[in-house]
Amino acid sequence: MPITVSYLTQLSPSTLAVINESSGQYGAPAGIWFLGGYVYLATGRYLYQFNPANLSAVFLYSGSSTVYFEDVTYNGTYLYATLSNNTLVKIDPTDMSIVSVSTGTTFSVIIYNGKNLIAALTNGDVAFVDQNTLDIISSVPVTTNSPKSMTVSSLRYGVSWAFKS
Amino acid sequence: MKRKTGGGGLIIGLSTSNMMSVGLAGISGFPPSSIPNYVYLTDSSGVLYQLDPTTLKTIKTLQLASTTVAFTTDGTYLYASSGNTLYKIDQLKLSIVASMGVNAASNQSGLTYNGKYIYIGRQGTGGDSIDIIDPETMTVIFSATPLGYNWGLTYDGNYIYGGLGGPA
Repeated sequence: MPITVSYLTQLSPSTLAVINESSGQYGAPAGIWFLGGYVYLATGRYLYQFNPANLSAVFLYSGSSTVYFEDVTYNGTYLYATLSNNTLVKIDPTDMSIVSVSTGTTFSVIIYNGKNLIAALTNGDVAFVDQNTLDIISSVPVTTNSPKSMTVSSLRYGVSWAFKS
Repeated sequence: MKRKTGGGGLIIGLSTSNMMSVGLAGISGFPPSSIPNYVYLTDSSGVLYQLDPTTLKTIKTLQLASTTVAFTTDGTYLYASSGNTLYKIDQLKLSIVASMGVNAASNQSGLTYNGKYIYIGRQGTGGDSIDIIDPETMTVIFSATPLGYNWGLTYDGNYIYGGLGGPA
């Protein structure tokens, strides 16, 4: 049965009791991240930014009913999100506005490792990505299969169910 | 200010005055890792790749049961949910240290770490739950079904967050 309704829920780490939950109902999540002090929830066409203090939210629309948010990372200033149409968007988290959109490269999943923005491309290459222009700086072939998810050793928070569909 | 969203949710305007920067160390209290900052990639065939962070070239590979849907790390070990198995993987050697089976009728859908325990979410006909796992023993020490299906987990240093829900 398809999932069509969800809530963002804040839980006690010790008892898993519900501390708070969002007032809104959202679509099935594709990923949840804690980045830069906010909790982000990707649900299809929308990327929600939640304030942990009260679970109030602002959101960003993908711009199309058929384009979904798939993966998100953060470099300390900007969010970077890959979409189901294989574009990469740079997002200003202070107002959840799109700063720029990639052109000419098909992105799959994305991660920031504390220094570099690193993307897996749909052709199986892994690339360093310019954090300003979103252009590919360099790339190497890694797999002939479809990239699905990516992480780095330095991450200390959970990144959940964030993978290329 | 309140406004209705196009997605059907009630969205409340958010002040950004309390925005804070959290580095990749992420959450205070987590010990620094001595592991090089490797990049890990999984693909549709279930292969886990360990990549050099400076060249992006493959250092090691590890075949898992199926595609990994979620990662988390405690600084020494990488935890990967793959198919019906949760793997504990040595990040440096890229070798499986331990694993535990999960309910075959439920899909693993969320994974996070709070500095002490692993949290894993599941949903499906085998049951919907969030389980707390002791990473030392790789055993479930507590399980709950807070609000229905779990679709992802994360941790902010204080609380666990889950996308929970069900059919409309």
